[in-house]
Amino acid sequence: MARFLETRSIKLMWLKAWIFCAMLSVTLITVLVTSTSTHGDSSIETTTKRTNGVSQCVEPTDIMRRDHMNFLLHQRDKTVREGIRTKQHSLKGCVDCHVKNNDQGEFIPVNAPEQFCAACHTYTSVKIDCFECHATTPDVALSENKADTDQLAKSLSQSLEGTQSVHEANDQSEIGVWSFSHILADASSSTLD
Amino acid sequence: MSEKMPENQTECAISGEPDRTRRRLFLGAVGGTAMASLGGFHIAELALAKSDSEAVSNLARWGLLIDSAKCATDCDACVSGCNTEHNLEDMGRPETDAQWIRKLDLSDQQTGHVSSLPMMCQHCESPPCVDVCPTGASFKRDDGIVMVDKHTCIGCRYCVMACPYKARSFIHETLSNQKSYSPRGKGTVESCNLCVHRIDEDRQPACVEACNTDGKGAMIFGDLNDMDSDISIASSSKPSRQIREDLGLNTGVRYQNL
Repeated sequence: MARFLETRSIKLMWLKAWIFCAMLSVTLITVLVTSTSTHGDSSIETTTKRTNGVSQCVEPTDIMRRDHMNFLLHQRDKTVREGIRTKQHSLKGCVDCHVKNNDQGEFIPVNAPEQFCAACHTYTSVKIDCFECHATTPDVALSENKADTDQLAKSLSQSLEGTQSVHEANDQSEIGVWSFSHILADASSSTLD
Repeated sequence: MSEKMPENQTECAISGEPDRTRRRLFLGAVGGTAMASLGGFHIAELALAKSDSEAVSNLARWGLLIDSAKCATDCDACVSGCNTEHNLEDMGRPETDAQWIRKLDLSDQQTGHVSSLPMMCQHCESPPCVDVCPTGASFKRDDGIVMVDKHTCIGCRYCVMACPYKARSFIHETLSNQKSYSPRGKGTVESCNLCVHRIDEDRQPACVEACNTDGKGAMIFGDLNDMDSDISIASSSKPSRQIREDLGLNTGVRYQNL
């Protein structure tokens, strides 16, 4: 009888060990998957070749995450109704910078799965209809027009000059507090998440 | 004002009174200079292209002048130019395909003479499409361009019915490959916007450009309020008319030799 009980307790020990191992492996797999997806998210933030070395968005990242829809809402009314075509908060600017290329050098639409716009909007279950009308890729192919890329970088750098003051004054003519190099220096010293 | 001033000066000189008019002239000159320096940017903007951050104003009113005598019956350079610019694709359904500009041939039933002309949104000063729009999506920009704000358009198509020129189209199909400067989408109404993206860059509309390069050079684009513009000079030298001028809409598109 005692021997039987001893055998049973050994079996129980093995069972517990197996359960522990299984749980450990599940935990490990979860951690691995999470780290991979985090890496995926961070790759969204990396700049494309098209941005010509511009590593900072038109506003600080946390502000963009919270308020990009408001920027776009105001910009659209200004552009359509009043013909104000500043580049800083234009949807075209978002697409131009955040679009990525596939291996063939073709643009991948920003609303395609896992791409810049779709990645977050799928995660947060927010459906947007911007791209039922608006173009999801830049008009000009990357390889075709280098001048266009330079123009974009130039306009971005110009618009970046007003990054700080936009929150202080609505008047676009009063911008110009921060210099582009200043922002780039800030950007390099702080993480972009 | 400039005509009256010398007369006043002459009167003062004759009566021997202090020449207040001259003094006023001087003050006016000083004030004018000060105003000019204060509003210097605005004066410069009138002469030069507007900056990106500046709103359009009613100082300009954009329009087209089309010479029907030059417009050939078999030419549709303006139509194809427009279709290419805005990527208006053939959906295989001619009845409902979007059409911002179309060619019309008008024949005189008495004489048999045929005139050809492009017909598009006439950019009325008092647009019926704006009157009937329930959401304010159909609107007239300050510089006279009548267009649709597709963000607020609900696709009711009242404007399509109200337009006497049949200038508006409704998008029935889901679209793709839109141009970044010309957003278009299913469920909204659209029409010629005089290539507003080009105008804001100080360029001519695509139809005018196509007419000049591939067509007969029958279209002139310009500012109707600027007396020195090509369109104003051409309009003043020869008679022009509006289509359905009986409606009193004061269209921005006018036709000559029609």
